[in-house]
Amino acid sequence: MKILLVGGHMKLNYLAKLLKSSGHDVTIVNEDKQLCEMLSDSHQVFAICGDGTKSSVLESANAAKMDAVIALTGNDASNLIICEISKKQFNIKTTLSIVNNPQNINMFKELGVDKCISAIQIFADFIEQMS
Amino acid sequence: MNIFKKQNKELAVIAGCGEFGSKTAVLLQKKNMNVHIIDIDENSFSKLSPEFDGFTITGDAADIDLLEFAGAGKASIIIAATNDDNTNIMIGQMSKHLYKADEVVVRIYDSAKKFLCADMDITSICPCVLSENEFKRIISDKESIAV
Repeated sequence: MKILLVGGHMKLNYLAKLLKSSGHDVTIVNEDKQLCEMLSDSHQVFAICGDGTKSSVLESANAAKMDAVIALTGNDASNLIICEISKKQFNIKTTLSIVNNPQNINMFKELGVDKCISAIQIFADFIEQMS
Repeated sequence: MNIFKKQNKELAVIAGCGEFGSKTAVLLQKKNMNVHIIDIDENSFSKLSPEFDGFTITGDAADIDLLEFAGAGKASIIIAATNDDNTNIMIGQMSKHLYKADEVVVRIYDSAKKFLCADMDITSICPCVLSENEFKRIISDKESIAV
């Protein structure tokens, strides 16, 4: 699959390595130039340095040809915009996002984010199941 | 906008107390509206003119709880004017989607993001586009004088 990873640091490093090793075609977009260089060297992924919430940057990352986009930034507004532009402008079929504030999950889903992941929500669900 | 003509005081919620937010707050108050203005930095409220008598709320306007506390559910107009385009668009979409406000206005610097508002019936104000239009007007005025 052609997968675009936008934003993130530790999560990005791990995910890029994992997806690449399982044979996916991985492209990353990140504002951190050093991280871009590091990841393109170590994992042989195509890296674009820039603001992933801008459609021009996503376009230079070949967004229109992607099967899935994953928004990994620490800012919910940025993640939402990344997924919305991907879906509405580049017609990417699957959009996935980290959600930092679990209260945003429903809204994200209704606005076209296909899969939302919130660590806090997962903890809460887990504790709910235990008790 | 017909909301200004009604007799009862209606509520306006403004996110972001910068140059634009603070001026708009006073303008809407003069149009006989109750105004609640949110900013993450308490010091920003010093930009409001002394005649402003609405509520100021310190916090992150992109937080659903805070928007609710500020009265977004009852507001007839919600304006997103923080210094971040993405936050403004998210607040705008939340306002339309969760709170069904009559009028939602967002300020966006990057005109390439305007389409995210257009398809949700959100009014966007883009300073770059306005400047461009104004510049075209100035140029055409000069040209017509020259002729």
